[in-house]
Amino acid sequence: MSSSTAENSQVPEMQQNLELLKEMPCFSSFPGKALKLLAFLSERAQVSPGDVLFEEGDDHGRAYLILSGKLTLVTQQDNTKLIVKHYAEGDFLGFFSLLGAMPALFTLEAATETTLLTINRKQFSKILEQFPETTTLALKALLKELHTWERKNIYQASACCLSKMGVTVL
Amino acid sequence: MRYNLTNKCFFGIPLCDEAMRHERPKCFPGHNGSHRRRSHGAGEPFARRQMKQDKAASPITEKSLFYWAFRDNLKLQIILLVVIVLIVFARVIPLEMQKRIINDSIALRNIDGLILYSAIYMVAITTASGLKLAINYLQAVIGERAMTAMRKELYHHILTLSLGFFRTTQPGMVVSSLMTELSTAGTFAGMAFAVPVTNILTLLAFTGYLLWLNPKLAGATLLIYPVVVFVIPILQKKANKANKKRVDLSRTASNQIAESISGIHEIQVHGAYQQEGRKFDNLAEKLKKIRIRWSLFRFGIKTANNYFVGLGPFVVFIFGGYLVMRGELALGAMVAFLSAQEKLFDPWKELIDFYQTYQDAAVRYRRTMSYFNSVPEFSLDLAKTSRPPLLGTIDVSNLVYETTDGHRLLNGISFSLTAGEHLAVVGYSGGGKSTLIQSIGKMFNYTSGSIQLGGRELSTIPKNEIIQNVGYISQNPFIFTGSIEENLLYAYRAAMEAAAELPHEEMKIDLDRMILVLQQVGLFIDVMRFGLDSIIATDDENTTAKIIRIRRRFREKFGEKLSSYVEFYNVNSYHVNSNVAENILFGTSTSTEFAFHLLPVNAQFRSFLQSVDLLQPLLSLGIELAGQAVDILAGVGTVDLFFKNSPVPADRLEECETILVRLKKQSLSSLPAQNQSFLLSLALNFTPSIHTMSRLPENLKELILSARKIFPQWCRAMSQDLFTSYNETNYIHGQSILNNIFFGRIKPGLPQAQEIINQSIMHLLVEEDYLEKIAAFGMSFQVGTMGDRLSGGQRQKLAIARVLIKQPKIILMDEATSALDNKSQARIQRLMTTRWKGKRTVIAAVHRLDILNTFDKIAVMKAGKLVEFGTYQELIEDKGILHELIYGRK
Repeated sequence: MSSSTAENSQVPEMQQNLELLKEMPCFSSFPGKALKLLAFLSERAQVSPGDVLFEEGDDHGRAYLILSGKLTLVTQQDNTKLIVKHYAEGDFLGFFSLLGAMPALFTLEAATETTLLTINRKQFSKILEQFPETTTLALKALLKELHTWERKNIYQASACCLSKMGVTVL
Repeated sequence: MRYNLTNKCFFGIPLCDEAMRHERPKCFPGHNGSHRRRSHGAGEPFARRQMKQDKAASPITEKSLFYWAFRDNLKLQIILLVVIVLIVFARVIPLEMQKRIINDSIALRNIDGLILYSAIYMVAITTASGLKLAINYLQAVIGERAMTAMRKELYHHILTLSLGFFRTTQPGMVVSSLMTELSTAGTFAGMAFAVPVTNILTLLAFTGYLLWLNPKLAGATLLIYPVVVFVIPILQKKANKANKKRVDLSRTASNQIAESISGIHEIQVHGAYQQEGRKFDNLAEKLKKIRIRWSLFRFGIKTANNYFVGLGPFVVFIFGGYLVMRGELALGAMVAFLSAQEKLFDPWKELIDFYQTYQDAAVRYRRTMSYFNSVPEFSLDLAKTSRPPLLGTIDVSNLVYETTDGHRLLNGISFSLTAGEHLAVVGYSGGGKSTLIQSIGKMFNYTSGSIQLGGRELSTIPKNEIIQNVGYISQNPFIFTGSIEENLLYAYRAAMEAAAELPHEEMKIDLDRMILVLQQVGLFIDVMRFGLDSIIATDDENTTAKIIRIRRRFREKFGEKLSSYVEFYNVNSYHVNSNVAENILFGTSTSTEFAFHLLPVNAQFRSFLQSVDLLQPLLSLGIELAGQAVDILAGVGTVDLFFKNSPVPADRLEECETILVRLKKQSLSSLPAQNQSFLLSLALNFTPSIHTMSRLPENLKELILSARKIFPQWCRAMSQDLFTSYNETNYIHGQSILNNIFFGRIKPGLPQAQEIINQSIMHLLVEEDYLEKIAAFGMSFQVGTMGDRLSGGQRQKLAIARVLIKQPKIILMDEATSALDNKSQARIQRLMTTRWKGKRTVIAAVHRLDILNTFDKIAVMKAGKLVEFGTYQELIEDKGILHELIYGRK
């Protein structure tokens, strides 16, 4: 169901979604009509601690925007669960998996009661189909994301991990 | 790094099915001659009966058009002949009577003779008309029978053609061949015997009569006909040529349309409207020209014929008149002559028509049949084989498969498996995995080398034995329109039919076994959901009573636990998961006028809304919804996905736009009544949790809740038992079984709720011993065209289940679990290791490398060659290609 903020407000859920999507670098350059449709198609979901959103190997094909709460990305190595990182309110993940098949290399779980806005690949690809110019825009956004990510990480990576960098020159 | 061979495409080009694309229909040694006649479909009693009749005959595509007219219709044709002879007599008699009336009765003033001759005349023409009707009827029967036989047998033949044939054949082409092109041939088959015989006999009779009347005059009149016989075939030849071109061109045009429509995505994405349009325009223009030419010749023939025959009376007047004047011919004879001469015209015209129809039908028929004139690659030998059942060993040695253009897709493959062993085939896309598996499944012939199943060479094993013993599951399985059950039993029934000639109804399989198989592949929960989502018939009182009992138990056991997932019906609260109408009524009516979809046009209900001050706010809500829908969805394609959660269906969006434009100029109350009720219907269907584009104002909620309290009284005022409120002890008809068990509706947006609810409901159904019943409802769920109401995962699970249920000795899987999520994949894996190991031989093309260790043997393929073969452990220790595939290049 709708989050508590949505429940109290008199602004329709879809309008709220639209405001949120407009702020996101991945979609902000999309034409208004496409954004509106995306806001209309996106769905809210509520998950509880321990709920698994996707598992290693799944091609889940979903992107998640955290409206409230916390998610944890974990990986299974030699039968022990290692926490990769946490995501909190405002974080957006899964954009790549909207663009094509992308089997998960991690598992994503809810750490707290969490409200999400989700978009799935089927909906997203229909929008790309309807508004052909958005394909290029999505591609540009993707490159920008990649670049920002690596630039941010390159300064933090210590010498040992530096050899693992280089996504942007793939 | 882990390497996943996820997709079989390389730069967007599918590499997986070269083998199929290069495949050409070709004759295989040992499959000609007597085997050809078995090209009919399997198990169809009609086809089987036919096969006995025309032993050693040519394939049906080489039969002449006349074959269909006489086969099975011999009796009818003989009856027809008798009727024809009678009708010829009945036609000549009036001529003689005509002559006698003039010469004997009128000239000699013989009243009795006049009455007698007139009476005979009457009887003769009445009989002739009656007989004509009989002929037409018989002709129609023969024609329809012939066409149906043609259609059936050709279709059965087409179904058995090689897969290569279908690579290059558009479905639309098969459709138009069977449904349109053959119908002319059918009409002709009905005429094939009756028309020429009737008309030739009539012609001969009239000619004989004319010669008997006056040989000189007859000779002069008949001179015209040889000229006609000379001219017409010349014109006809030209018409035929044009017709042949027309058939070919219209086929090309249909293919062009079919291709464009199948590729409509590409066309629209690239904006290639003009290009595609031009391609079609070109063909349409050519087709127009050739059709005009064809028509010109056809009508040319008719006109020429009419002209020459029209000269007949002219000869009679000139020459006959001369003879009468000279007293060599009686006036009565001349009148009879004139009539008879005119009567010659009809059968002649019919003969010419017949000639034309024959030519046209023959052209179409030949073209159609020759298109499908290839021999099936494998014979479907339906003869019972008394051989012992096939053993599960597989020995492949030096297997080569070469495409027609010399490309080797399999290049000297050799390996052996003992019965019950499991082999995983891995390798890069285009390495030949699919080709290997399809060769073993006898989907096409290999070029050289050998494949032995249970010690017998594959090419010598009849296809029916393969059908019984080998199960094949493809990556993109095809699911057929029908119920889950029909699809589940699809392969089983075919195998049973191939094994023995069991009548259709004896092929039932018990529900328990179906449920077991569904559980094994992990589809059972889905089927239960289909069952729970189904709506039961209003007169099924046993079921409704049972479900109300289950509802009570559900409340006791799970009511509290599930209260955050389900919105239970409560007379005092507004239900955001139900629509406005349901929230007002909070019940169902026995009267059809109060059915939910008719409420917007129900005047009484409208006056009720008016009386509780709801009409105006609801119409405003309707306007808002229409506005939102237009704002979001106007101008985008009518994609189902877009309109799934829209309050306005795709086909009524335009109406919304019209109404909104009108409202700018005029007031709501002056809108046409149908516009108003449309707006009202939008508001009454509004469900806040689904239609997130609008909100329901708080005050409107309050108004609706108070209207709900008044509604039952208002109904009672009209009629005592018009209406029943939702009540814990009543079944709600028109709602799903699940909603009835809940006495409420599930809340959306809770992805994890599903599992908890499923567990609770299953638990309850097992306790109440009602699981099978609900499963049976689920089994009859209609999967939609090509299974489009199922998800990709569900389709794959169903495909695995349908192979599993026939219990084959050998199971071939071509990336059969690629669309499954981790859990389902693991379930199938578990099934393979615990239930199939040692019992069923498995060869699986695998793209996910993390599941390999459960297989006995691994084969690594590269460029058509088997580069590594051994156990998982061996190959990993060798640090060869498999190691590289899994752990990446060092």
